[in-house]
Amino acid sequence: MSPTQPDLETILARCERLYGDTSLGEVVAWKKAHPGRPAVGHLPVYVPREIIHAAGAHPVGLAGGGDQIDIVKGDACFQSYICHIPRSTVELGLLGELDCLDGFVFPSTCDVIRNLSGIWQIQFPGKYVRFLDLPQTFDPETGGKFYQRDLQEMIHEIAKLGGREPTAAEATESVRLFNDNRRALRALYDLRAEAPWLCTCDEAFLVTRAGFVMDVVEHTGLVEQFIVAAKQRNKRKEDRIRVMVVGSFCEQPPLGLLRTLERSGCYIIDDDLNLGMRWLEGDVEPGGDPVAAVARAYLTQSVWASTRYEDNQRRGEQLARRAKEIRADGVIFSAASFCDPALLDQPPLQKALNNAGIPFISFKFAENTGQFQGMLEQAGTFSDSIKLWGAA
Amino acid sequence: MSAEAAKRPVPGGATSALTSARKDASMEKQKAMLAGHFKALSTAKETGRKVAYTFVPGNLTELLTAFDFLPVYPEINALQSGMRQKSADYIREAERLGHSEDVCTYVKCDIGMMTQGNIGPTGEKLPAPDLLLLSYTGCFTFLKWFELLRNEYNCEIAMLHVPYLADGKITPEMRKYVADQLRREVIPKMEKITGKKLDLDALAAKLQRSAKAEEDLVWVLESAKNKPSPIDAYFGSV
Repeated sequence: MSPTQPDLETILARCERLYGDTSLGEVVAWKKAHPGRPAVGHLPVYVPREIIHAAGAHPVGLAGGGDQIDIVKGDACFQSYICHIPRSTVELGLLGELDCLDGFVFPSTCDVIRNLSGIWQIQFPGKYVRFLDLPQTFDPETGGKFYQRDLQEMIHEIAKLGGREPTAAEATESVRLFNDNRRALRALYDLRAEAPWLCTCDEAFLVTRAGFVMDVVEHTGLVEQFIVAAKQRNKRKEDRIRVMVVGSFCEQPPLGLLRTLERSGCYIIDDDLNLGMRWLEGDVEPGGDPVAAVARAYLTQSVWASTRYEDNQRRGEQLARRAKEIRADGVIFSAASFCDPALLDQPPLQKALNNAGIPFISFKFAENTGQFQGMLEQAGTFSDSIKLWGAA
Repeated sequence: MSAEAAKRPVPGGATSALTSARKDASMEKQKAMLAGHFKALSTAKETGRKVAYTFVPGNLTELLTAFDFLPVYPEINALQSGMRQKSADYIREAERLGHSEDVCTYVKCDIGMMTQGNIGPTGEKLPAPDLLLLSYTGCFTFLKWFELLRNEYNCEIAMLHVPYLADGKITPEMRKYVADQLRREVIPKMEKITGKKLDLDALAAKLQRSAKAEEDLVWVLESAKNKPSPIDAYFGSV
């Protein structure tokens, strides 16, 4: 290993520290190093981070408080029968943990995230709040133009916070930097699909998640360093089945759940965790108008996702095809409780897997689930049954 | 009950069990209109009328009826099933088919009703749709609901994404987005399915009548400011 290449433990320790820092120390440090420039938080699933970056701001991914905070006040804003992420996000806000952020972008992921934007305006008046209504019409002349106009407006608003109105060259540079980042993350996921014993799911999760708060260039470097270090690991392949985890694209499962699934006899070789970081397939070609290019990329290069209107029969076929491409032995549907997008998609996705002869199991979680024994047994039985009677 | 007690009015103004309910002309008309609508639906395939499933909020009934579509509102089906105490069975059936306990019971009631013959509130079968008009006006579940129905019915689906007013304001861009979708997606699909061209004058006349009907309804609802109120909460909501 070269003197400048940190070892795995150093990289992972840093990533885990960033994951656990609910007061966003990395963002505070960024702001200190870039006085006057804003930091703008965004909720899951997808927000075009390069646009926030192009507007001179630091894009900061938010994913709730996980299993690291207790909800006291956050519950008062919501009914009981919705997911957990809005409660912990409000709690973080009310505790002052998000005070370093100058603004917040709420994408149209679902009714909960949308309504959280309204609650944020009430709870934190004076803070910049932007609801980003991602189009569900993918005609470039209708949805494309509406979305592009929305992005341009967002740039103007962030410029007023202390950012900038970027030139085409500056916006192009932002697009290029995030293309690099997505490429690095794809390489990370390729490594996991090829040699999952070299990189566990929770490690990939932490490395990806570090990008929520880090500068994009630094994060790309960290991902690349991790890949180099992981490939040099001296670990043997074990007798585990290869699975995909599907449905955890917004509220994230606790790390303990990911570790439990892999301990139960599975290699998680693909997933939709932190999906917003890898939302676009391939590079965005900026061309002469990078904002238009990012808008167009949403219409034509988005990964398949339950939050996006689509023929769900096609979505199921895409899932089955992906499972076969990466030689998955099975699929684990792991959705947050009350997650309408994930849970309403499950029956047609499961039907597609049945048609393709791909076994699956399913369960629900919350970001602060603390007991994994049931899931361990369920996933363990799944793994054993595939090894005994399946193709694995 | 003694003969004397039977003659006394029931507290709250409701009639006693021994006298028949008095319906006024509007109630009779409403009953007749609903019965006529469901009769038309039950014979739609024979008469050649096209059927569109759509949602109540932000509905485009004037546009649908300008093309002579018969609208079906799955939320109303679910509401009617609830009133007839059939929801539990329908929901249970949908859950047996794999739908989560956590998700919207309107969706599950509709899915369950569909798998059990799609019998409507009048006891007659509801026809399959020729068009799913997905008016996405603020409930994300609508989007997933019609994705599921498209799988089942394999028919044409038209998306109308109505932007959310996060700041309570309608912008020219939002208006243009909706109008563009109507022109480029919704109306062309309706024309393709019905074989008819949109008659803008007929649509305008329907919109004018709708606007008048809405004003009249608001007038009736505002009558509740009177003491005593001539209407009750049941009337106001149902």
